[in-house]
Amino acid sequence: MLLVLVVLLVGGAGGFYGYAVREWRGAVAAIRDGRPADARKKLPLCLSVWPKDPDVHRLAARAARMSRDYPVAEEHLNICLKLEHGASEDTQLEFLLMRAQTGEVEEVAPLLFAYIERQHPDAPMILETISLVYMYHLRYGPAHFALNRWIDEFPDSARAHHYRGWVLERLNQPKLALDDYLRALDLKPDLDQVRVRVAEMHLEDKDPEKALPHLEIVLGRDPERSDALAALGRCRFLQGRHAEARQLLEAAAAKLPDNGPVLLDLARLDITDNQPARAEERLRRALALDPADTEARYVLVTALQFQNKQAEAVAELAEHERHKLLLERANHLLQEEARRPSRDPKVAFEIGSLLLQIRQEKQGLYWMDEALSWDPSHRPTHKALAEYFEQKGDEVRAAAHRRQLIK
Amino acid sequence: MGSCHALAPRWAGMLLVAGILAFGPGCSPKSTPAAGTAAPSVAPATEPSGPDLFEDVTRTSQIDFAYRNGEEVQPPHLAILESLGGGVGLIDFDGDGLLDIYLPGGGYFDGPKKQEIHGHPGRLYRNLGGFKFSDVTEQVGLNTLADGKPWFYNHGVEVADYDRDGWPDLLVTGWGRVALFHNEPDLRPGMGGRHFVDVSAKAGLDRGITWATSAAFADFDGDGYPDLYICQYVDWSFANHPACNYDGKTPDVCPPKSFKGLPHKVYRNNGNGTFTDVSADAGLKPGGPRASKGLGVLAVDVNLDGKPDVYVANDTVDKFLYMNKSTPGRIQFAEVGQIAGVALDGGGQANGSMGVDAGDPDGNGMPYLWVTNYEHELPALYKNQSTRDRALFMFYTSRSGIGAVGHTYVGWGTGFVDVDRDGWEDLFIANGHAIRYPTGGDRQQKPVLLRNQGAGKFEVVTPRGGEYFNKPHLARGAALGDLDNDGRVDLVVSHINQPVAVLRNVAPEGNQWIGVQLARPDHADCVGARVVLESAGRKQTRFAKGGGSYLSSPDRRFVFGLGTATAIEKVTVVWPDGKEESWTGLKPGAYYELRQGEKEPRAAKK
Repeated sequence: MLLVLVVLLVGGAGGFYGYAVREWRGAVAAIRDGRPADARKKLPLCLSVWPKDPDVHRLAARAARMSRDYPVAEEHLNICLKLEHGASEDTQLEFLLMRAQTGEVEEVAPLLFAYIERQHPDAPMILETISLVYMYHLRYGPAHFALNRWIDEFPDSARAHHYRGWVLERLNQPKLALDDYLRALDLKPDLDQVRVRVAEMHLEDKDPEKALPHLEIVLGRDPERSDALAALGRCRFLQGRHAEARQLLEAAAAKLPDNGPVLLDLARLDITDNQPARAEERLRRALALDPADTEARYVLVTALQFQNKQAEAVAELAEHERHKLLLERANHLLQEEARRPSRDPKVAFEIGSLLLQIRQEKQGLYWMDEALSWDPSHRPTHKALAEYFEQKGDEVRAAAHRRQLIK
Repeated sequence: MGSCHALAPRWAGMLLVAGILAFGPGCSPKSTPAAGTAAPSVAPATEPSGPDLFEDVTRTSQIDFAYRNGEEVQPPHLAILESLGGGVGLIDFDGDGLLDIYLPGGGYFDGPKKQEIHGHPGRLYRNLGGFKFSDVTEQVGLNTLADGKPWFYNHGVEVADYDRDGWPDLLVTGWGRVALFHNEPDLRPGMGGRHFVDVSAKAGLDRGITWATSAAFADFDGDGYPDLYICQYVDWSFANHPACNYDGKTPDVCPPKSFKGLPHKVYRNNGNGTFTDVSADAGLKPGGPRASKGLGVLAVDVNLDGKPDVYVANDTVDKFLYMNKSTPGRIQFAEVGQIAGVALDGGGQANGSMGVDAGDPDGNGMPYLWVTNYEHELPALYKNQSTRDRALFMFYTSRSGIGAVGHTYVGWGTGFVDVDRDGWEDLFIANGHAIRYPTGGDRQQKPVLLRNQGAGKFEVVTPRGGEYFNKPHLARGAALGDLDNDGRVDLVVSHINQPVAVLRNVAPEGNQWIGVQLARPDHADCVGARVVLESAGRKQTRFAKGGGSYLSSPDRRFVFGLGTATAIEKVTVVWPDGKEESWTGLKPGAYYELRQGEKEPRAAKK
């Protein structure tokens, strides 16, 4: 009897251990495939089985970092320091990556590239992190550089081609962007997010016939996929099949109530169906989501005109022109910075100001910080930030910037 | 023309910052497949079928002419001047009832550095009937300018009886000047018939022009004499000739964005054979880097107040809609393009706009505005919902089915035309790229034929156009006109360095038609009038226009298709002075001249 119990216990423990091993492998694969949320679901069990294994804590740190949960990431890395009695190279790498993600990318990028030079096994992940950080901050030039490096080293990375396509769109290189997206799809045909973007690009280019085959593939796999349904709705809109367009777009809107392009296309249909008031409602919602959406604002002018709200229409038209000029200037400067980085605080300040004016606040503040990193006493930046924080009710930060002006 | 890049992402209108905020590993939609749900249909469209609608009769027409742009010069200039091409003017210069064809000649470069800009004279082809033509250019004096001046590099043509002597005259536009030719009896010994005399200086039109493109005659101030609006393009010259490319390395023609737009001109007809430049007082928009790069112009009454308004296709910048606020003797315009919804496309973007027309494709009696645009842009159809006091349009391209045209074309000469006479106006677009080495496309492009299926819903039927429509060309100006008076509207298309094409409309004979020509006392100008035909319970409206298409001057008569209807209830004309007259008893199958103040229609000259 006792023997049977021992056998059952050992068998059970072995099964449990085997399960933990499977979870560990699943977590590693999830991190490799860019699915940190999946990894975070598996890691608690692994941590309970191997609480003193620095590799497990490091992977947990990595999953947390990739999910932007920096306090948890730091916690696990500190445990690694204790377990390893110091920082191993891999733990140092994780700390560097966290610093990159939390605003110190310029300081740590050279160190991270050194890992690439040494052909560290995590080179793809390092390049991906650097690229994403630059992309997040609209630093198109360094992002492009990092992505080119990633693709040079790992030409069959679908994600690298995907991300480079994204950057190339913003560098006003849509043909090259499309080439990258298509290459990503060659490498990984089930990248539906990319395939829908390809279809959207064809629609933006007024070519529904090229968009349709891609949408057929995506919708064949997932007939309810909202962004693909929205894109198909836009196809039908361009093809003049408006009843079908409306049906598809309304279905997409039910699932994606805050999708600007869907709201915009429905508003266009509303206007041609002589329902300008409904169009106005949708367009105001789209503009609340993105005040810089010049297309939505222009269509709003039409909706207001058709309701005889002339004064409002004139005001919105003026706002449209203002935003258009701001966007053109911002895009031009961002592209110039990408082509020829100036490290000029005046340029960074102007980019930051423009982005704040069109209410892209996170990115606007980043560029203001860049200006100050190149010239800590740059008065226009301090003035603008003092005003900004004052408006936000953050007197402490406003005062800090005002003090810089007095110096 | 248009912008530099091959694709025009929507993000150009907004930063996709929201996209990057949602970006990153693991970001994917949360939807899951629903069992048993079929994927939405994405079946392709079917090809249109039916007999050819046009026959290319160029070879037998005896018209052997190609507009030449001088691009053969070595080393190549790649000047933007070379990219505009030429137009087509239809004019019954000898009053025999048959439309003759005038074709601007273009130009070339000469001098030690090949930077002297010269012109080729245009050609006038007299219509002999049966789609045969004869070159009478020298005979009628159109090969020479006054005082032996050399020909200027020329583009466009506009036809109107500017002095109201009953004979149509010719205006030719181009680089550095325009030329006005008066149509007069040829009293030279041994001659007879008609000829043309360059009266540019006498008319006061020999100065003040930098680069003229399309023009429109119309009586803006209501005195019966046609005034003149002239578009100007950009401030290119050899002193302002940057190097451009579209792929980072291959030199090519610069886009219009590399230059400043030039202010346009408006001239008041003094009624004595002379014109006065009233541009400064008329309310025209100034030129500049973001304004006034004019390529196409149309004079048409958009708010049905009888006064012709002016719609200008500007290239890569806002289009203009000038509402006519003139009073007798004083030409005044108010530019309302943006607020009226016709300056930009449906996405709020300026387009590379070239050709322009107006028509009533859905039979609601109001003139839609229509514009041909650059690649990666759709041709623009604007539905007119104006009142007398307020111009108001909605962007209607997609709703009308015209979005199916796609994004690859660069469109120029164009027009509304009821090709098959079913009572619904169709659309024609002449296409061809603007630059020498387009990336991702061809320089030569097929035209587009859009059939109105009824009530303003269009389908692409280009293959049904015939041989010409199934081959690519480097097309520019185009004029629609009934060259043989059979009630089927024909086409003449000008190309760059390729023979002009004469296309005979051979649509099946089954549908009925009626043609209308307007006339007013003392040959007063008719632009601003509209004609409403009632038949088989429907109304069709046509608008008397000046300018239109691209660099061209089409047939000013109206051809109404009647479908299978055999009776016409009445035809009503609302004249520019507001007076309304109706005629009954008109029979299908003929042209009628409807003369203001005369109860009986006249048979038009055949």
